[in-house]
Amino acid sequence: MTFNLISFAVLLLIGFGFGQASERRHYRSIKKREEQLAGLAAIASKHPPVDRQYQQYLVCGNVVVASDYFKSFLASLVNILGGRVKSFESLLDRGRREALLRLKEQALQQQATAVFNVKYETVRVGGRVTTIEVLAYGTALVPQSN
Amino acid sequence: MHYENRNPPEGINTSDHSPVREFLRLSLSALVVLIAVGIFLNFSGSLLGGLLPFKAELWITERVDRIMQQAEQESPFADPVGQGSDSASVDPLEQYLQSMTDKVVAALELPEPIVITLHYRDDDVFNAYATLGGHVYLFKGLLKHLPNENALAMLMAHEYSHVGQRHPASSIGGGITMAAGSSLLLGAAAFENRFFSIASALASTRFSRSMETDADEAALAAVNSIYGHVNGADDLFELFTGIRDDNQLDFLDSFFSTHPLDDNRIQRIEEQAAANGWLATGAITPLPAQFLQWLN
Repeated sequence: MTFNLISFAVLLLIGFGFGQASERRHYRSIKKREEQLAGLAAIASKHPPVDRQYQQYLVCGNVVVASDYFKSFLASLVNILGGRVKSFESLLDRGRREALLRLKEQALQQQATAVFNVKYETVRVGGRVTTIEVLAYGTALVPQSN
Repeated sequence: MHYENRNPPEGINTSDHSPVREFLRLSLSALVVLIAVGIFLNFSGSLLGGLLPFKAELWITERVDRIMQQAEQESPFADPVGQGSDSASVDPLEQYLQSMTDKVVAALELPEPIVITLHYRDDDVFNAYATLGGHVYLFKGLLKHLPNENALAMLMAHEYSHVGQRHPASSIGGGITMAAGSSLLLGAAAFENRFFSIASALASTRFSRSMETDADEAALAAVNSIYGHVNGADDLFELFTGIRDDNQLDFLDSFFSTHPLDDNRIQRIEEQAAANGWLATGAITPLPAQFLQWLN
């Protein structure tokens, strides 16, 4: 019993410490890259501009983000009691923003000026600790030089 | 047309909350809920288990025994003391244990359908326990430490009282409802089950401890009835204390232990003896001289 309790507490502490540190680091990176890539618009609209001819490419940004033991434990308690799973909100937020950044990076490599019809897909992968995959995909518009 | 992505303001898609405060709030709430559910499930399961007729317990153990034998597996209910050999070659240890059982059963005045089937296990395990169908197990590892016959009588009377008071059926009934309830409530998720096991240990300890106390009380009355005094009965718990000290059982294990603390049990024995006017002094009956040789 004591061993169980101690191992449980240690896993929670490791999850909390490393999880929080990793999340802060990831957010710092996300904010920095969002500013760098702010010039490239990624739009949900299905109606691209018609001012000129564009080449169109499918671009994707994909990321897999794992929760930590602490966050997963909090979420499991919410499963019992009900309410908002606050501990997973930042996980999904990071996943969506990172996936969009990767999509934009891919679009920029193709000299795109905008990405239209951007959509997200989210799935849960992995086993014990919640891990999500977020896929952002859209149509990159590359102006034709003609 | 001009398109742009503005950097999203922070804190809209995520909640600004203190994870530690959230953890404390959720843990305490869930612990309270789970303990309440655990107590309810354990109580109702124990109640239902205790209503099971003793004949049903016998039917279950006989059926398990038959299935195990058909599968050529070693049945836990096989090889009871005093059976399976012809009377001329019966082991002296088994003869002695059976004669003690007869004395203790008579003193306990167990109700009619209840029968005790004693099993001696030649394992160096410091344990004795009672289970369904009146099957009681005594291990060499415990018997070899017993200081006298009075302590042996107390040990046997304690285990047989569990059977007489239908504790194994109640306990298993409680365990089954707890397991079924936790599966229904929480599914097979690892996190909740670990948490639930802690909560359910807290919820069930009380019932088990009350069973142990009841068994102690009945056992002490039986010892008094056999020897005319209760001297030597507390030697059993002093033996437990000694072994526990040697093994350095820690605070948490003591807290979660289903047995009351040994000091409390000794004190309760003394109080019960005083309240009933039973003699606390009297001649201690030694174990047979060859007892240790029989064990070895």
